[in-house]
Amino acid sequence: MLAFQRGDDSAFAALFERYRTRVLNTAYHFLGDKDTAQDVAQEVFVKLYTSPKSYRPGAAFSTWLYRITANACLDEIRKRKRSRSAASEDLPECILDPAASPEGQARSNELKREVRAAIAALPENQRLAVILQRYEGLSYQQIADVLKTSVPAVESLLFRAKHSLRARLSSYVEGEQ
Amino acid sequence: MDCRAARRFIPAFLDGELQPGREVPLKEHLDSCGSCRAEMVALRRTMDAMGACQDLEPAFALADIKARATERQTRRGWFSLAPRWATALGAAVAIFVGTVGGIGLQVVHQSSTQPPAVSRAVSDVLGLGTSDDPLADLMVASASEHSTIPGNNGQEGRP
Repeated sequence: MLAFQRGDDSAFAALFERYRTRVLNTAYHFLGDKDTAQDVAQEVFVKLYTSPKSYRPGAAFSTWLYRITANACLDEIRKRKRSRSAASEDLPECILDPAASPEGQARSNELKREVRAAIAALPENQRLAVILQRYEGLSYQQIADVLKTSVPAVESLLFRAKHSLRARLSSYVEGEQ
Repeated sequence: MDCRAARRFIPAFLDGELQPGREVPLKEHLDSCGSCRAEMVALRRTMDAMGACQDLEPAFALADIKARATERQTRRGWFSLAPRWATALGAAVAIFVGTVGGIGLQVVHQSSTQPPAVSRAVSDVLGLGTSDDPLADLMVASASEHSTIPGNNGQEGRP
């Protein structure tokens, strides 16, 4: 990013290649809508491209980028609420096991749909913490850096989020062997 | 360690994020408590189920970003080329419409706590957000959530 700030355009291309899938999928898991996620992810990179000076060395670039992405998602949610055009709730798809029986696939699909709905129902801060931890593989400290909060606060957010997910999904997960 | 504390620490334990010094007491508790072991298994299954969700592939390329950026900068360029009096007049009209429209809507919807719709629309047209850092706003608004965790007598947030 520092190289791009100095005017090296190829540095932006490298950043774009390295982070575009991560930015896209953070937005996708957060917003639950494919098209909106693609659009929000592009806006994140447009912002990066047009305002490179907004990044200040000191914070890790990825931390800063996740924060920009989270803010873009929150802006999008605010816009949706204002326009009262509810999202299509196009919840992220889940992988099906091709070897499973039709009944097994149906049950698996139902569980995964329910998981996505449970994530979508979490408060925004808990949802973001879960997505960064579970899908992006960030440590509690890295999540704390993105959220600009403490590790105990992240632990608290994740405790609440996972408690909610586990309670909502209890009828699915407790029946499994 | 009692069940309440154990259940508090199970998510961090499963994430490999449990603070040193808590792992041994937790494991001792789990060895002796079937209920907490079942809770841990259920939570692990829940997290496993989350892991199967498919990632999206980007449907945009670097050229798309640069095209959008150019378009954005061109739009800004036209705005900056407009005479100053036109910019000022436009801003005054926007504020007037937003204020009058807002007051009108406020009268119609006395009970509404939302910002005036016309003002919001003007704000949207001008590309203004309600905040530069909505994540910071969100974290401040939910700060009270962090101070306590259910089932731990307000001791949480600093485990």
